[in-house]
Amino acid sequence: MSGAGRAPLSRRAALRPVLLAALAVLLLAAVLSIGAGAVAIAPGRILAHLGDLAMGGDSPLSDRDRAILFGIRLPRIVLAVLVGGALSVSGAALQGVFRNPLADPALIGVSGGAALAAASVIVLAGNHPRVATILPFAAFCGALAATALVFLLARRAGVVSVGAVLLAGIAVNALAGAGIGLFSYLGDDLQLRQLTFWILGSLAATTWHELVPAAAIMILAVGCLLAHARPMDVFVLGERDAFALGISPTAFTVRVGILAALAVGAAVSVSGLIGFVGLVVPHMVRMMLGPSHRRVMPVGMVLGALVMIVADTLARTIAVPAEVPIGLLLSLIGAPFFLWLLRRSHAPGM
Amino acid sequence: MIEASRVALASGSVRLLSGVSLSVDPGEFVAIVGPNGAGKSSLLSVLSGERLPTSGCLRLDGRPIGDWPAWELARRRAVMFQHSVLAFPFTAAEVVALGGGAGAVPPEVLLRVMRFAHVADLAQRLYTTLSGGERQRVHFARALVQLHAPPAGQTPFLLLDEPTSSLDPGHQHLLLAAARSWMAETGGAVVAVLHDLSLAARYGDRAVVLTKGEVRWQGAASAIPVGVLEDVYGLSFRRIEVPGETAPYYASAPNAMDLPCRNDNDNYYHWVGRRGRVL
Repeated sequence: MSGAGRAPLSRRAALRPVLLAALAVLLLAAVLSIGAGAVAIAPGRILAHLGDLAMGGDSPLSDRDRAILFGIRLPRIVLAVLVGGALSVSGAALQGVFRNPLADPALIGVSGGAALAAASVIVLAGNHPRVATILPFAAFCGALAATALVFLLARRAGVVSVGAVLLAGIAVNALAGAGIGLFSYLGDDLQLRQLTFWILGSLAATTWHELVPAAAIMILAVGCLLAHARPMDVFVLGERDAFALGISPTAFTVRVGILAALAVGAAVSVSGLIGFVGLVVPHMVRMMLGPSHRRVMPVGMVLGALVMIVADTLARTIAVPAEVPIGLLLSLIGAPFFLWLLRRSHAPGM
Repeated sequence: MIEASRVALASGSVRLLSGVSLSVDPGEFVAIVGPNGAGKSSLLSVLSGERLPTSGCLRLDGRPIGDWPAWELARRRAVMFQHSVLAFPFTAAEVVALGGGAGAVPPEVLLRVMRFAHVADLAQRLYTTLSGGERQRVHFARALVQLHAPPAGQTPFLLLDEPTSSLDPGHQHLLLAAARSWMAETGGAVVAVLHDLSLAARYGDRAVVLTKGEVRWQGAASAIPVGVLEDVYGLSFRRIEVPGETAPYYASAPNAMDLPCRNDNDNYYHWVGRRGRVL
């Protein structure tokens, strides 16, 4: 017996080397990406600069290059890493609690809920001095409300059907879309521009100041979600089996729902609507390393960060000096992938 | 031990169980039998602590079941459900390992249990490609893994809801025999919902006959009175003892008078009924 119905051998690969290799590639991508853009800075010069920084010598970079690197590109790379990691891990977590490999934060309306709440803050309190701090929390509330709504709509007698989750997601997305439309109608020209930019998803215009509150939330939420990986594997067996195995289904669902909403909310509040990362990345890891969340979550986190860095680098270099919104770019890649997944999905309820 | 006293369970206005009293002692195999809708699965869900009785009391080691936290309960009793769905392509070995719940299971324990439950050959197969019977055996192994290290001095309980429903006769015997040797090895107890009365008689120590949410009869599994079965199932029953065999066989046939009869000439059951017996 070989081939049919058997797990591929790559699934037996040990987690640690795979994770280390992925981290090395991520680091490389970050160094290459930080030099790319409208003003190109050779990776060698960046490394030399880092070396001199460590040795205390003179930097080979001009003041202008330093300002570009550390004031504009570095926060952007950090944001890409955090958002990619947060969306992938929360995507995997939502797929776990919904027991649905097709649940993506953007697809099932969680990002939409966050976007609606954030849009309301931009339009209603856009001039508030603490808007960078309020935005992630508002987005979290929106994401949480959307998660709860999808869960309540899709759950019948302890069973969450795959089709029902996607249908509920359509409804929640439509609702969120209508709300965002309303706010763009109410907003003034500046707010409208801000909203549009942000609905398309973008990592541009990030400053350290805007990044810090959202970054703290993402790191905390992702860390907690990673700690839920093992019970998450048990949970995908269904609520009854999970209870029999010692996991209280309601408490677990609520806890993971809140953590995923925190991560998605924070990500959406700084980067806008970026879809499909939470769907595509966990799926790629599942195909290579198997469906265990103890692999999908940590490796997905690194891979998600990598995908974001690559996509963002593309977004700001393919149309120099203009910039393509990264959300748009990822949807162009992600939507066909989703259709392909849908075609080959044999999940119950589809 | 598990003790149910006058347990009732209702879902909305539907009465699922009423006045059910029974106890399960260490080292005992209790078979729960009865027609569809008799409340067998409901009883199992109450015994497992999944649903709390609407009235009456269920105690595990003298402590009301509702007072046991889920994680502590999970170390004492495992449940194998009729239907488990899994949309993710785990391997059979990975599903069995999930029996450890939130804790890791040593690989040698996994291997031993998988051999014991006759699923070692399925280890690297993807769960999503397994047949119904293979899945059932995998879940049985998972339940055994869950109880591989019960707290010292405490009896583990294995609750099985129709564990043999998708199995061929060979595997039916293998699974129930494995459950019995697990009992002998651990001093634990088994509660199994079974439809096959001959299997219940062979592997069970005690049988509980449920009907309409109530206990109709309980006693030695090999001594279920034919009258009780005929009454509960509305069928005619034969209890067949074979010399040299430890347990009797139960055979059933339709009770001709109760079957619908639309056309006198070509209705098989009518033809059978006229003669008062099947074939």
